[in-house]
Amino acid sequence: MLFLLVVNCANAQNRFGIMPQFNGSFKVGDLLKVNAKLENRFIFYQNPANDLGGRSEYERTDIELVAAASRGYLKNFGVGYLVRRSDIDGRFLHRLIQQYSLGQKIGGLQFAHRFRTDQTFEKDEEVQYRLRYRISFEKPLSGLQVDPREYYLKFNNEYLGVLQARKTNLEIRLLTAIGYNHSEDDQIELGLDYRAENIIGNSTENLLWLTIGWYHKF
Amino acid sequence: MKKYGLCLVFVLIYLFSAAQQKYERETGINSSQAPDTAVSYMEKLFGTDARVRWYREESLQGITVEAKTKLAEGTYSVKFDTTGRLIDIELTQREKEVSDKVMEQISSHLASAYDRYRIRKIQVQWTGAPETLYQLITGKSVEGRYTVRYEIEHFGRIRRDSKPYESLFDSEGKHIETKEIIPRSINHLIY
Repeated sequence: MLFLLVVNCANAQNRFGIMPQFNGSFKVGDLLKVNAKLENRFIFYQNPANDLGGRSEYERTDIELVAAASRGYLKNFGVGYLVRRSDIDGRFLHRLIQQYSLGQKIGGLQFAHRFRTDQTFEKDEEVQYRLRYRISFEKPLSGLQVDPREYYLKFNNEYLGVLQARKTNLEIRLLTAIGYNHSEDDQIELGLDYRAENIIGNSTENLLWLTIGWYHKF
Repeated sequence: MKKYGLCLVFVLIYLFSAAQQKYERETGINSSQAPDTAVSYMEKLFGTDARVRWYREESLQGITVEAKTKLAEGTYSVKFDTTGRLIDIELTQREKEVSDKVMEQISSHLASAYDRYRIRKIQVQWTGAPETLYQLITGKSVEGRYTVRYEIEHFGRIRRDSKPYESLFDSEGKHIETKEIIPRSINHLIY
């Protein structure tokens, strides 16, 4: 399937690149858990080429902060902010995030559900509203649970409804990764992230990213 | 001096509360890595065709070997020490499979200990001589003595804070002990 996706991306007008990310989480007192994410995108190949005829380029950098309640009635509810610097014109984009997440263990599989809404603000653009749902799970590659110094498989699937300038659209994301749980505080992952954007209409874009992620708990 | 005494009390409270938490690390192993006596006992209990998965489990209590097999009545977990000596046998059960009297006792304890609770998993646990437990599991007439306990995994909410726990009850549903289960962080699945 991944091979087909790669071929699809190569044939259509699409993008393929690498997306390294670092996630750091820490507690603020007894009530709040904060996750900070730094994510970059570098395009290796794109079709059509950019305005200067380039096939590869640095695309963007995201910094995201989400604070979620770790206890009480609002447990697992969170709010966040993302700032993005895009290399296309050096502009900044700002996004407000609201989310609710929950974990669920079924047999040897650990599931996580994430419900999100976000509002994106960008100069000379209408505000973009998105409604998102993501299901993720991990499967230990040894035993019934992921212990320190063990590998796991991670899969996630996200659906995004988009509303901007009274027009709606849909985006679907799929990720498959292999992870190494170095300790309770550190996980390293390598995977492929496929995204189909602007599904409604004729301008669907296929994106395939090689993802490298490091999750660290401070 | 009073200050040091107070510090000591806090340290003892911390150590005691740490001891009430459940830490386990398990890894899958092949049957060839399990003690021979454990493998033969499983064959005697469930036959040679039963699909058995083997695990090596490390906990604060030491290292054990666990065999799991899924049958129509539930999942059996048979625990041995590293020499193959039987420790206990557990079987998953539904709430309605536990006697009403026992379930009432268990529910009454959980209702008094937590503002709200939700049972996730029930396991009946038998300890006794290997031959006695063999007779019990295979439905033969039981000659020796054995002990019955119930291991309950549940969520409990105290003052708006919900946490996962594992509680142990005796054969009549009387509470023995409760340990807090420390869940693995799922940040890498959420973000």
